[in-house]
Amino acid sequence: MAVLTAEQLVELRQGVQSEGDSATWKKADINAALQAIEDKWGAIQAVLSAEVDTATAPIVFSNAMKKKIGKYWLRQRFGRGG
Amino acid sequence: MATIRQAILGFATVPDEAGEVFFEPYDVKATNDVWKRLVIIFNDTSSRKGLRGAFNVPKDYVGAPKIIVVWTGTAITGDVEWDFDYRAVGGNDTESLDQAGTQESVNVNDTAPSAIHERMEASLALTAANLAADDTLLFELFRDGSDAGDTMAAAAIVHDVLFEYSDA
Repeated sequence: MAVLTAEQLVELRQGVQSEGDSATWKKADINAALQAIEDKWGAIQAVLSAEVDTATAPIVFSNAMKKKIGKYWLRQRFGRGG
Repeated sequence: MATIRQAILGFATVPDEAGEVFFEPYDVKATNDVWKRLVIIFNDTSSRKGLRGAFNVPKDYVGAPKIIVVWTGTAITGDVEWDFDYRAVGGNDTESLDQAGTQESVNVNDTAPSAIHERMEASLALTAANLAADDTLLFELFRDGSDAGDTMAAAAIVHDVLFEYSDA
């Protein structure tokens, strides 16, 4: 479980704010949401990795390749307008 | 005796070099995109970032000096911590324009507008005896994101910075 640094939180908050929402929340609220995602990501990543291995057997993608595949899937799922 | 306000952002205005304070057309963050004038963006950060400038204290200055920050935002909760550091330099061949340290540093905490893009005024009172008519007032206006009181999760959009004072 990695603790997001102040600099990481600033960059992430500014990214969220670039979407133009009218904020009814404060900095601490966004920080808590980001840290919650960060805290759970390890467990989620392990589950997804096992699922990919099952789906692609007998091929086993490297962790770096799974990360790349996941990155582009996330972009199409949650990219701007998604 | 009258209360006078004058705008203080002139040719000497420059944002700090970190890139978190910058000029931007208002229609980038505005909804209706009618008034496309320049505004100054003070981003949500975890540090103290500012806008530098200078102005002349008017000849009819007597007292009650204040800096009025006219600002707004797209958040309707949270607070912004405004800081104003300055040094007033006067005379002819008597005082250096390159002195170390500030003469005074003042701050105010202002709450986000109750509706997005509503006009806000944050007022920072200066010590009257520090200023004299015809002084050059060197300043830096900060949004202090390192202050625990700065909680607004949005950029502060500054439309103007004014010097308010009482005349003779």
